[in-house]
Amino acid sequence: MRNLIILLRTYYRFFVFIFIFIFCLAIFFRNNNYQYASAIHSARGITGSVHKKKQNVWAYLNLKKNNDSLLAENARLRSRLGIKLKNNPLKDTAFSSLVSEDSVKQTIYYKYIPARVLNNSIDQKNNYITLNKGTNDNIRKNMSVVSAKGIVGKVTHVSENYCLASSMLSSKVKISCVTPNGTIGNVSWASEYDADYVVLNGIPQSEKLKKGDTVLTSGFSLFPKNVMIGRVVGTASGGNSGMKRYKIKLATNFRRLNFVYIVDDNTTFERTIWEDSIINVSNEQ
Amino acid sequence: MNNRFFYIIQFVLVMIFQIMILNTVEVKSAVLIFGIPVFIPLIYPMLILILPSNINYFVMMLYALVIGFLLDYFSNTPGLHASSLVLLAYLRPRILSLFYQQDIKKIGSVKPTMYRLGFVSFLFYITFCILVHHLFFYTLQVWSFKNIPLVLFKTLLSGVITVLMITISQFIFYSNKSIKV
Repeated sequence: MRNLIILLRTYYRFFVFIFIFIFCLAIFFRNNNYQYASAIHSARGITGSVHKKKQNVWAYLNLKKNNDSLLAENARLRSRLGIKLKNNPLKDTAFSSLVSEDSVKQTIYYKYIPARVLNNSIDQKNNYITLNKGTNDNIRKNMSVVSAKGIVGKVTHVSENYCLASSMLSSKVKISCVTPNGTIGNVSWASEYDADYVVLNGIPQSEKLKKGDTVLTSGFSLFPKNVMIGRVVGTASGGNSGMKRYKIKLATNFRRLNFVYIVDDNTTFERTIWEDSIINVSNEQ
Repeated sequence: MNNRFFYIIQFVLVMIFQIMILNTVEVKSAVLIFGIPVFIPLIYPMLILILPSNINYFVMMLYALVIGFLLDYFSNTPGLHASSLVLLAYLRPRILSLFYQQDIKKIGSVKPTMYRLGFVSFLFYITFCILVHHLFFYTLQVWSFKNIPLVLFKTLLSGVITVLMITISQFIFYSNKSIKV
């Protein structure tokens, strides 16, 4: 016992260090896991408001660029669906898109909720984006997030006024996509450090994709159909035999993300909940 | 007491600078070197590096833990900043005695500033500490054997900028007249 006390007194610095160090590492590895991602700090009130103040200043500096891109987008959207809508879309901050239309009854599938990016990262293994809309604006988990140019990510955590979206630049995010010929593949972020490129997987050898071919979402995952993902720039190494991999340049610039839209899609929710319930039941049996 | 007030002011200034400006620089600047996005510059290890040499060990560890958790809280990386800063705080007395020739225990309180250590010793001390901190930080962040060159690349580039910023901050926080031995 006496020897133990002497040992502790001689090396107490080391023991204290090891104790704190392992404590920190345990927190890191527990939260770094994508499945247990409880890194919802920036979705909470205090940090959210700090990020909001920070974003106010930075948004002011980029005001001209943002205005230009918003004007261009407004013009494009108005030309596309301004005539078809009965109610004035300008009176609504959240405008709606018509997918299937009838001469008698118009069905609204997708609703786009505009949101502002408060915090964004591109250098982590799993990157998150903080947005300024929460449960007060009917945001739910697993809603998809798109920007004016293409896909961004999906909502993973929601608080009252803020939500956290896992961006496309996350190692575990896989999105179903379709090539110009109609082949279904999936897109994931393989490089883990390059914020401009993703990799297209699961394309058979027989199919040849040319440089500059567009890759769109297929509508099988949470994203709406025919949202731009990016353009093919060349083949990528690795992958299974029999399947080809292509390098894709993302349409969205994740370095300059300021305004995004959260897609409220009732049909997809119904479908995924139904699919999950069937899979769960068949697993239990 | 004056001294303690000085450290609090410095803590607030450096944290605001790191969280409000440096954490955003990486996202906003579209600068690319060899196709790899430029990392976040980290200036906060400076807060630990400039503490007096005879500071209480537990106070220093607690201070490192608080700084680390604050940064983690704001950058969504639980435990990443905290663990690397705690490692740096543990190793600091050893590194300091490597680059400071006189026996520290005999002298008592020494502020490891540029004017006290001398420019060359200070630069070696800062560089070595930052190297240890950044190497651990980026290894933990990337965490794969596949990307070892990326870790070294990030460490080197981020380290150069951090050492430069800490050296410049020495001119801001201390002047030649206000040396207190």
